[in-house]
Order: sequence, then structure tokens, then C-alpha cells
Amino acid sequence: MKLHTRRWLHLVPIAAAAAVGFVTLTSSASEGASPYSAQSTNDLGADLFAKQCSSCHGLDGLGVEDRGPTLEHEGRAAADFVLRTGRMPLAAPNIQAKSGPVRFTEEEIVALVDHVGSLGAGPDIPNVDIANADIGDGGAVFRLNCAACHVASGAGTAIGGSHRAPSLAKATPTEVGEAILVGPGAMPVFSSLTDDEINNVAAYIKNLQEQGTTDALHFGGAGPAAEGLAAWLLALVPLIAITRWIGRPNPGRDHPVATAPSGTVSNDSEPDPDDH
Amino acid sequence: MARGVVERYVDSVTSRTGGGSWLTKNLRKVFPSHFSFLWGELALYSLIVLIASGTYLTMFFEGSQDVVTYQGSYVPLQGQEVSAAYDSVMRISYEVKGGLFIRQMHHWAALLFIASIAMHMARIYFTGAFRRPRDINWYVGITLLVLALAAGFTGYSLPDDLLSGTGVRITYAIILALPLIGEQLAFLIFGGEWPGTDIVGRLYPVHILVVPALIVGVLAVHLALVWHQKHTQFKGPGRTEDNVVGERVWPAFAMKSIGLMFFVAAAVSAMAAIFEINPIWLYGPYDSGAATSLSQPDWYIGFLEGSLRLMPPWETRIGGFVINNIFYSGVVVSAAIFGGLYAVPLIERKLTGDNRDHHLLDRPRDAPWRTAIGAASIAAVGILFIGGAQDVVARTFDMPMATVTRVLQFSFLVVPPIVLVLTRRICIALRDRPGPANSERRVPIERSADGGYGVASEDSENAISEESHS
Amino acid sequence: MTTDDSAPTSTVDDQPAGFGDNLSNPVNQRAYRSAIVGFVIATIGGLISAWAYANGDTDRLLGIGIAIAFGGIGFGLVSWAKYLDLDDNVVQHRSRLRTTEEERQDFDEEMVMTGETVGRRKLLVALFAGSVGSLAVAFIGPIGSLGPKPDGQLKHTGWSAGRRLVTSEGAPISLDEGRLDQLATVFPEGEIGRDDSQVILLRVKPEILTQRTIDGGSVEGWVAYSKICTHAGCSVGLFGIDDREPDVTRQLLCPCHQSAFDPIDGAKPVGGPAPRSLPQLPMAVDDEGFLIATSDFDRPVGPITWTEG
Repeated sequence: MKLHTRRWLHLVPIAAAAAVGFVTLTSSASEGASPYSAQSTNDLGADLFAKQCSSCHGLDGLGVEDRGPTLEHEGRAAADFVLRTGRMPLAAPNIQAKSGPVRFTEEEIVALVDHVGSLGAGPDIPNVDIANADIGDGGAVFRLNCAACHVASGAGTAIGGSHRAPSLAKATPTEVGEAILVGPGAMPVFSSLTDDEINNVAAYIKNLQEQGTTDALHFGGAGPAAEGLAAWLLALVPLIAITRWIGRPNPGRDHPVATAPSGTVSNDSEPDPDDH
Repeated sequence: MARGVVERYVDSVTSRTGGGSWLTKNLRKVFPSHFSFLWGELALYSLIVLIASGTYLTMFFEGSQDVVTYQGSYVPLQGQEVSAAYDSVMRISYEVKGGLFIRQMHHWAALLFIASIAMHMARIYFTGAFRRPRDINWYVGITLLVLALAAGFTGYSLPDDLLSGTGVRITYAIILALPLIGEQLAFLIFGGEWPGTDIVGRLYPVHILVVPALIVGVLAVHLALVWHQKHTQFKGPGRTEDNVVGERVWPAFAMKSIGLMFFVAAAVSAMAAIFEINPIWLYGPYDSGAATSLSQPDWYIGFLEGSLRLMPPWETRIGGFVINNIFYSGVVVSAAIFGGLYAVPLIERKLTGDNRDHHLLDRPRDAPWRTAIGAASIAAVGILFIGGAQDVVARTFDMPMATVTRVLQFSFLVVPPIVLVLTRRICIALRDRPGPANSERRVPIERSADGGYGVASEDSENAISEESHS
Repeated sequence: MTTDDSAPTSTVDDQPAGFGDNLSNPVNQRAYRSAIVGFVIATIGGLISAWAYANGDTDRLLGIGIAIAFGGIGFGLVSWAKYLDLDDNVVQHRSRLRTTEEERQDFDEEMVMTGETVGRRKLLVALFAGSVGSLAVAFIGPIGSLGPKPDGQLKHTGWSAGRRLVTSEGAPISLDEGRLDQLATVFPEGEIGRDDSQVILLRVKPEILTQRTIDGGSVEGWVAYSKICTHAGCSVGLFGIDDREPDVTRQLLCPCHQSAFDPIDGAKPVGGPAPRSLPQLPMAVDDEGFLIATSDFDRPVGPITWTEG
């Protein structure tokens, strides 16, 4: 019996190592390692926030100077937007957030969203219903408010500085609603739009996506500059190649006029006054 | 061969006009066959496509700014208030079967028309074909270019959509910026303050009547001069300043030329069938207060757009008067570009002191200064074109807007002189390269007393040959 | 091409060269067959278009069929010409273009004769010129009817003291509604859609506004500027926010030529070609808590003209 007791004591460090390893492996890697090591609690949202977000936004979500802003008034809508479009976590503080691969599971997103929503008072995730929306009104609202940055085709463009209004080709109706309410990144807040108007705009954007306004055949929705380039490259260049086929590259060199020794190559020895 | 139907009908005309020998002589007229001589025809045939497709569009277009409610089949605009002009173009695009195809043919042909003119102009310039006696045809040609730009601008502004309407707003601002006469002239053209209710209705007859009539008239002069002066040709054995060597108009040249016309129509049709152009339903009707990004004019106005974007924010005050920033970038720069173009034959004459007739062409390398100045000018204007799309550049290459602008401004000053020097060096190096190819090009020809041509001996006084320019 | 270089070339005076059977030459055979193929494909293309139209497809297929028809005919014609292999070494003489001394003298005689006949009666010439000039002057009237005389219209907009700011739907803006960093396009109540009165209304944190903006008539973080760009008149529709410290910036940008304005500091130009700031609309709050203008802009909106002064 004594031998067994001593032997199972050997398992303790192994078990401890395994436990630490398990905890370490199950947390996703994040740059800028948090000085606060993971505290295991029952709140998945708070845990994830502490591990993934607090290095820039602070454990309390009130921001860290020169690293990340306060999330006090961002609300669930903002968190949902940035997490579902893969904008957060940012690879480094202070760079422009861009959409990308989503880093969290559905469960984790829900937990984080709840957590951020609890930090203060901000807009909730809107319930965007496009089924009965007025696309005509949506188009008018889009052109008055959105086209300036996101382009009439939804293609998105560079906005002064080093900002970018992204393409709307993959935006879901909920993301559209969230962005309008939250004003993520360089985007202003359009809180003067009513719920109906938000539904309508989302429906209009869905219609643009169905038309394929930013696909290759539409030159990415980039407008007259792309059309002009296409005219040169896809129409003029082939036509020039065709003229090369029709005409000669080097008429003089390829086919010199023979020097006829007898002088029979005479043309109009008296110039005709009406000669054209 | 018995006289057939064709001969008899032709005879019925020629015997009433004294044109019998004239007709035959012109059927036998000789045209040299270098492929670059066909580029003017690309422009000519684009114009024919424009006139044909344009006439069709006039059957449906309504040149009026009266407000109507859109009730066509494009769902996102239903119920919206638009102008009658916009509504009619939507009708062409969505209700008229085949209408969108013809409309897109028209717009693609317009882009191609001016691109072909640019290539043709470049060929004329770099081979020295604009020298006497064809300097007058150069002036005619530049006038055609200006008219083509006017046709394009008035044309794409007709649908009264947000994008082109913004362009017309900018034009209004440029006219307002003219010293002394600006305000009155702008009110005269636009019927009052912007936007007014007249401008689309006025652009319409300008686009379908005034400008096309001028183009056809000036083009007739252009072609008549080419026909009468005969085409230029490159140097080569047997080719002199006194002859033209090539193929006869009938049937060889005519078949190839008409074939090219069909190819131009094919290219335009293919573009129109496959690629959408100018989707006005996405821009929506012109609306005060609305804006869209990536807002460029059609490509050929890009030099003006770039000038407007790249010009630093300078303006001048004189006493109580202001010379606006866009007077410099809109009026002065454009005047400089077109003034420079018109002045090409004059500058050539001044710089070379050469007032002789020229019917033999230079290869670009044979005239290093001319080629270098041309290349540098193209570089400068090219930078303006890129500047006109500076936001597209920033977007495509993910660069900050201000950086793109600064780089282009800097390039505008620095790149053309570099291109000038480099091009001249390259020309001289190519030209002075030893080898048979070069010496074959400058074989002096002499015409003997009985009319035959032969290679001139070195001390011949009758040699007909081109001095090389340095 | 198989023109034998040593053979004499034809001249323009010769009869048009008749050609025998070119099919003996393999290069020409190829051209002949190409011509046949071209015309056949063209015919098929035309039929495709007709079928497409009859079956309702008027987008892609109609156009593609037409493109094939055009291209086929072009290819056929050019191949046919290549098959014919006609001489392209024909020599034609260039006639003289310069005037001779004799021609110049003839014309000079005409000019002299004109001076001695028509030009002799100077009074008639002068009266003729004067009457034509008078006729030209008469047409100035109708031409002038094309547009009104400018009479200071450019110096006024639809804004005046007490006018409410309303959205394009007509809704007024309440002082306390909405969040920070929001953006709206507004017009004077009763003049919705009037082009010269378009205004861009922002709400930002009041602490960041400069004194100039506050003096210009902002109200508790609400600030309004003319939306017409002072460069070339486009609507300044872009609003970019950058909260990344330490440079917190707000920028109004114009999509046409990328002029940038700083709304925190009186919309002064901070980038791009615009030479002057956007005029600021001075605001106050009315009894019901809605935003109103206190006067028209203090200078003309949009790009200025010669006489702006």
C-alpha cells in the first residue's frame, strides 16, 4: 500500500502540467500578451474579453491610452458587427480595422457581445427585416447618405487619410443595420435614420448584391475610370492588332518598288491639271 | 464584256455630271499600306457607329428636365421622382427590347472614338506627317478632337443622372470662374442659377445637331485634304517625295477598309453585349445634396479632371476681384494643352527652319527632338489622366489619398523632363546604330531624263532624298 | 505575299490588273477558305441574334450574335482581299501642290480688279459694313434672352433668420436627439431640395470644437456648413472620423476632387484643391428645442466668381 500511495503522488505534477497545458491550449493566441493571466470563471464572455480584448480596451472596457478606445457606449450592436465581420481582434493597435476571417465561434461571439453590451449603454443589435422593405426609398436614402463613401455600386473606396469605406458586396442586412447605428471606424453614425429607413437601405444593398454590381463583368463597380481602361485595353488594343493584320508593318522594306531599267515606269508624264 | 446593270447606272450619273474620268481616276487612286495609316479609319468608323446608334436613341430620348414619377420595371427606382430625360434613358435601358444594347454600343463607341483619335494623332505627330502641306489638316484634325470631346461631354450628360449631373455642375463652376464675363455667360448658357430647368434641354440639340453637323463638315474637309494631297508614306526603295506607292482604292483598299469598319462595329458590339457601361440606375437621378465616390467623367475628360484634382489650392486676388482656383486648373491648363496642340506645326517650323513640302514620313527616331517633346508631352498629360483617377489609384493600391496626390504632383514636374532627355537619347542611339537596316532606309533615288527611277550615284545633283534631322 | 520583286510593277495608268486563278497558291488558298469561314460564321451570328430577340433575350445573346455577325463579315472581307492578293506596289505620281508664280499673278489681278470695282466706292463699303454691324447688334437681344442678368442671386440662399433645419423628408432636428458623430443633409424648412441651400449637419463632442467654429454659430456640438464644395460645387458628402489618439480628427471630404475640410475648425481646407473654407451656417435653438438658422451664410456658397470680393 505504501508503494501505491507514493506512486500516485507522481501523477500530481503531471496532472497539474496537463491542466495548465489544457488551459493554455484552449485559449486562442493573442498578440500583446495580457498582463492579467486567465482567471477561470463561469462567465465565458468576461473570460474571452480579458484574454482577447483587454490589452487594448482595458479589463474594464474603458480603453487604454494609445492602444484602444472605450467601449462604454458601443453596445451589443458594435461588438456583434466587429466580431462577425472579423474586424476584431486587431492585429496591432491603431491600425485600420478591415473585414477578414471570423476568429470566434458562434457561442463565443454571443458571449462577448453580451459582455460588451453590459459595459455601458449603447445600441442593441437591430432587428433588420427586409422582407417588406421599400427598396425605392432605400435607394434614395442610400444615394443621399451612403453612396458618397461606399460608391453608388457599393464598391467602396479610399476616404482621405488612410481610411477605407469597404465594399458592401458581402454585407448582411444585420451588419448594415449595425453599421448605421454604430458608425464603426471612420464611418459616422446615421442615427437620424428611422428603423424603416434602415430596413429599406438594407434591402436596397441586398438588391445591389443580387445585381452583381461589383463583380468582374462590372469592372468591380469602379466606375468610368475602369470603363475607360477597358475601352483602351479590350477594344482599342485588339483593333490595333487587327490593323496590323490588315495592313503591312513595313511596306517599303518588304516590297521595294523595282527599279525598271527601261524607264517604262512612267506616270502621268504631263501632270493632269485635274489630277487629284 | 457587255455593259451590265452597274455600268449603266453609274453611267447615268457620270454622264450628267461630267464625272466619267474622275470616277475611274479615283477608283485607281493609290494608298500606301502601312498598318498605322488605318488608325484614322478606326476613328471614322467609330463615328459611323455613333451616328447610327445615336439616331436610334433619339427615337426614344426626351431632352427635358420636367419631373415625372418613374414607373418602369427597375424596382429600386419605382415611385422615385426623376426628370423626363432620366426616365427616357431608363426606358431605353429597361423597357425597349434591345435598347440597352444599342445604348451601350453608343457609349462604348464614344470611348473608342476618342481613343482612336488619340492613336491617330500620335502617329501623325511622331512620323512628322503634320508638316507642310498637311499642317492645315493638322489644324482641322485638332478641331475635330475638340468637337469630339464636346460631343462626348454633352452626350453623357443627357441622362441627367447623379454622376454626369455633377460633371455639368463643375462645368457651371468653371464658366462662373471666367473673369469679367463668367457670371453672365453662365446664366446665359444655363438659363439662370444652377441647376435651373433648361440645361438638359439645351445640351440635347447641341449634342444631336450642332456638334454632329460641325463634325461632319470639318471631317469632310479633313478627308478631302487627305484625298487631294494624297497620303504620306514611309521612306523605302522606290518611294520618293514625288510619288505614292501602295494599293489601289478599288478593290483592294476599299475591301480592307470596309472590312475594318465591320471589325470596329464588331468590337463595339462585343463590348456592349458583354460589359455594362454607365449604369445610371445605380447613380440615380441628379439630386441636390447627393454625391457618389469614384466619380470620374468619361475617360477622355480625364486630363481636365486630373488638372482640377492635382492643382494646389491657389487663387489670386486683384483689388476686389478673384481669379478662382478652377480658372487656373480648368481654363488655363486646357488652353495650354490645346494651344500647344494647335501650335505643333508652327513649333516644328520654327525649330527646324524647314518650310519644304514633305510627303515622306520620318521614323520617330529620325527626329529626336520632335519625338522627345512628344513623349514628354504625353507623359505630362498622362500624369494628369492618372490624377483624374487618383482615388481609384488610392483604392486599388491601398495607399493614402494624400500620398497619391503628392506623388502625382511631384511626377508632373519631374517625369516629363526625364522622359524628354531619355527619349532623345534613345532616338539618337537607335538612329545611329550601324547596320543594313538603317542604310536601306535612306537610298537616294534619282529620276532619269526619260522618266525612269534609279538609284542615284553619290555625286548626283538630282538625287531625291531626305536629309536627316538631328 | 508572293509578289515577285523583280517583276515590273504596274502603274496607275495600266488597266486594273486582272488576276487569274489565285487558288493555285497555298497562302491564297488559306485566305480564300478564311473568307468562306468568316461569312458563314457571320450568317450564323445574325441568326443567333434574331433567335435571341424572338425569345426575349435582349441582353447578352442579341449583342453577341450581332458582334459575331459584324466580326465575321469583317474577317471575310479582309480575307477575301488577301486572297485576291492585289498588287500593293502601284506607283502614282504626286501632282504639284504649290502655286506657281503665274497662278499667283492671276489671283493678284483678281484682287486688284476687285479693289478697282467694288472697292472704289468707299462710302458704299463703309455703309455696308455699318449696316451688317447694326444687324448683328439687333440679334443681341434675342440671344440675351437665353438667360437672366445676374443680379446678386449668387449671394443669397434659401436660409434666413428663424428657418428650421429639416431633413429631406421634412423632419426638423431636435437639439438633444441622436448620438455623437452623426451626419445629416438638411435644407431650410419650406425649401427642401433647393440646390444652393444644401447643408451638412454634424454632431461632435463640443469640447473639440475650436473657438472659430463656436463663434461661427455652432450649438452644443451641432455644427452646420454649406454642403457645396468651394472648389467646383460638388456636394461634400464624405465624413471621416479618426479617433485613434493622439490625432483625433474629423474630416469632411468632397468626392469629386478630394478636397478635405476640417469641421472642427470652421471647415477650413486641409487638403486637396479647395482654396477656402465652407461657409458656416450660424444656428440657434427655437422654443420647441429644434435647430434653426439665425441668418443666411455670411458669404456666397460654393465656388466664388470674379466679383465675389
